[in-house]
Amino acid sequence: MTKRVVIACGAGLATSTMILEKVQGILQEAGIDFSISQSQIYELDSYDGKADLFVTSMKLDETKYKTPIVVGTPFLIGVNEEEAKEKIINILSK
Amino acid sequence: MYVETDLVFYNLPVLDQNELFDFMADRLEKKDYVTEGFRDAIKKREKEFPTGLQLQDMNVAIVHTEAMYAKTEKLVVIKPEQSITFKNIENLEPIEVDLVFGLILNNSEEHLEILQKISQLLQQETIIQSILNVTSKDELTNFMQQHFNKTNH
Repeated sequence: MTKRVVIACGAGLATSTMILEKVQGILQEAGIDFSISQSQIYELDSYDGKADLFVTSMKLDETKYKTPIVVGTPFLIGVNEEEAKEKIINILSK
Repeated sequence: MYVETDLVFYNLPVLDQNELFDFMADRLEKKDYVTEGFRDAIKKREKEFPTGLQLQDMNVAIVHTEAMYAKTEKLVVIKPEQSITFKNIENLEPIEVDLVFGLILNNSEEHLEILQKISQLLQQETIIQSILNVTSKDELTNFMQQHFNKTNH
């Protein structure tokens, strides 16, 4: 089944674009069938429960969302990237 | 050309975010690169969605607004004289920022390219070291122009 991933940041323009590039590569490499879109953080409510994963530029209150969230900052700064990558693959392999 | 010589500032004497954003808005309005709403929009955005990034050896901020306030695609580079307090994008903790990138993005096709180049820059230790070693406006300008402008026509 196609996994639906939403990448979100404040404006849905800059940091989410940088994160999206990385996540796309990870999912392709992992052989996961996916669709990916970009949004602003305040729009996430409308995707909640419908998407399989949110990757966000900032930490959100995870208890507020049904969709699991991974913080994508490691992909911006190149620190702890492996850990975030594993989390993403784990969530989408379920 | 993303990085223009007169949009690179070395040892800029600004004390806080407000002064920094006013300075940026003044310069960009003069060049007609942003709309009138830019000044307030960039302040508001940074407050709501901070853009401070904690790299291994340096903290940077990648400040920007929604695309509607930009008339072009440019990159403003500011090395403040003293570090400026921002908030970490990830956990909203305060961090001291030594280099500010002002992303003027209007969502054209070029904006992907500029973001990819920033992404590369942030993730390469050697590049960050070179930036830390810069000692003049000329060096900073040359460095940024080489990195960001080289594939341009």
